[in-house]
Amino acid sequence: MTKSTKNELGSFRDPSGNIFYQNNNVYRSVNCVYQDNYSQLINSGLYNKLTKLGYLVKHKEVKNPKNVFKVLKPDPIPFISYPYEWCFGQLKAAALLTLNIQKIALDHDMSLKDATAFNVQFIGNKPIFIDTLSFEKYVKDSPWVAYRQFCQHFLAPLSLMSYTDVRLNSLLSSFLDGIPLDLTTKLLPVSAKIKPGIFAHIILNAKSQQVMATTSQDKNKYKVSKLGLEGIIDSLISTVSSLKPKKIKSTWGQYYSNTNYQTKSFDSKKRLVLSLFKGLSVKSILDLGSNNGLFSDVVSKTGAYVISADYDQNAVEDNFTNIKKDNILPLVIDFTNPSPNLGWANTERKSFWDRLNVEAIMMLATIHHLAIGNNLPFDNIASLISQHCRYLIIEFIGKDDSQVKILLSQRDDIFTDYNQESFESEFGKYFITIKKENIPHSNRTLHLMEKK
Amino acid sequence: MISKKTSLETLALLFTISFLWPKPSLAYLDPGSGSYMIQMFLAATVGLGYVFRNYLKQFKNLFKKHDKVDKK
Repeated sequence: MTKSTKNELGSFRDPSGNIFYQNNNVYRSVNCVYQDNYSQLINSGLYNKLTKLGYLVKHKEVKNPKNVFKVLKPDPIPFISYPYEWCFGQLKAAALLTLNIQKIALDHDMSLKDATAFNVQFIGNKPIFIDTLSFEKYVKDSPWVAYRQFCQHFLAPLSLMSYTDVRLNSLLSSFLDGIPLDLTTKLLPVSAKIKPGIFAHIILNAKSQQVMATTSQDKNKYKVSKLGLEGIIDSLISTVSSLKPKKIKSTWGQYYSNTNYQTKSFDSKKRLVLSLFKGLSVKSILDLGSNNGLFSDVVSKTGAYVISADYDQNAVEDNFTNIKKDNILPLVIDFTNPSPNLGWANTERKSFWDRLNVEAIMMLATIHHLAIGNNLPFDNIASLISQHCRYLIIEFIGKDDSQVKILLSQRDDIFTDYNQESFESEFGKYFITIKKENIPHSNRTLHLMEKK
Repeated sequence: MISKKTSLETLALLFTISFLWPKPSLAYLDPGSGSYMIQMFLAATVGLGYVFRNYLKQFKNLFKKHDKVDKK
C-alpha cells in the first residue's frame, strides 16, 4: 500500500475485502478468503445480469494486485448518502432493489450474506447496489442469513414511516444496524400489526428473536427449501410494495402552491438562476433548502449533479416521486442539525458536511428560515457555507416580504440586524459579490458570490 | 360458570396479544437463530402460497401462449 492510499474507515466488518482510496479514486480489494464466491459471481453470469439491469455497480479489475486476490475499481458514485437521509420512496426503492437482487442471486445459486441499507446508494433518482462482495454461494436448504438484517434496515423503518410517522426514518441514525424489531413492534399501531406481512416479518420475527435469544441452538438444524425461501422473498416484496408514506401536515410541503409569489416572478427567477449557473459551468451543486426540487430541476439543465436537500419529508418525497432525473439526488437534511459522524469511533459514517464536495451552493428562499426561523446570525451561516463551496447563489428576502411576515407574525421581532445591508456586509467577510440582481415583480434580490 | 370453550378462546386471545406487545430483547447470544426459526415457519406457510401462485401463473401463461398460436 502506497503513501497516498487511505482506507475507508467504515469498511472493516466484512473480512471478504475492503474499500480504499488512491489518487482520488475508489478501490475495493478482494481477499483470498472470498475467492470462490467472487469467481461464482462472475462465472455464474450473476454479475453480468445485475450490471446489465443497472442493479449492481460496474467495476474493472485492476491488473497485478499485490497481497490480495483482486483489486476492483468500481464506477464512481457522485455523492454517498445514508438511509437516514432518504425519504420514504428512496428507502422503499432501496428495499425492493435488495429483494430483487436476492431473487436473481438465488436463480444463480448465490445469496446475499448481508442486507444493510448502506449497501445501496443513489445516482440521482436511481438506486444501485454497491457492495460487490455481498454475494455468497447458496447452501442447499439454508435460511437467508440476512433476513433479520433486511427486516431491521428496511421493513421496520418503512412500516413505521407508513403507519406511525414518516419522520421516524431518523431512528436509523440512532440504530445503525436497523431499528430493533421489538422497538418497532412497540411503536406500530394495532392497525399495522394485523397486516399479514408486518405480523409475519416484524411481530413474529421479534417474538422469535426473544424466544431464541437465551437458548443455545445448532443453526444447522434449521432447514428452509429454496422454494420456501423464494416464497419468503416474494412475501417481503409484496409487503414492502404495499406500504405508502403516512402524510403529515408540514409547513413547507406545499410551499410553492401556497404562495402567490410564483405566479408573478417564478419564470423570471428561473431564467435568472439558470443564466447565473450557465456562466459558471460548475459540475456539482448543493441546493440547500430545495423544497420539492423545482429549482434543482432548473439548474440540473446545466448538466451539473445536484444534491437537492431539504428537511421537509413531504417536499423531498414530492421531489423524488416527480422529478426523476439521473443528476438530481433528493435528500432529507435538516441544515440546523445535519447528519453527524456516527458509528465506531465516530468515523464509520461521515457527517454530511464531511462528505460534501461541491463547487457551488444555491440557497433560494432559505436565508430567512435560518436567520429568523432558527436565530442563526448571518456570520455563522456565511462562515459555514464558505468552507464548502467556491460559488454561492443566494436569495435575500427582506422583512417586507410576505413569507418573512408569516415567520415574524407569531413572535417578537428581535432581529434588528436582519436587513440587506447587514446581510451584504456579513457575507462580504467571506465572499466577493460578482453579481446582484433584483428578481422582477418582487422585493427579493439574487446574489452570485465567489469565495474570497 | 365459564365454559371450556370460552377459557380456550381467552387463552388464544391472550397468546395473540402477547405477540403484539413483546418484552424488550436482552440478547447475549446471536439472535440470528430466532430469524432462522421464523423462516422455517414462514417457508411452510407463505411458501405454500408462493407455490400456488406460481402454478397459477404457469397455468395462465399456458393459455396466453395458446392464444398467440391461435392468432397466427
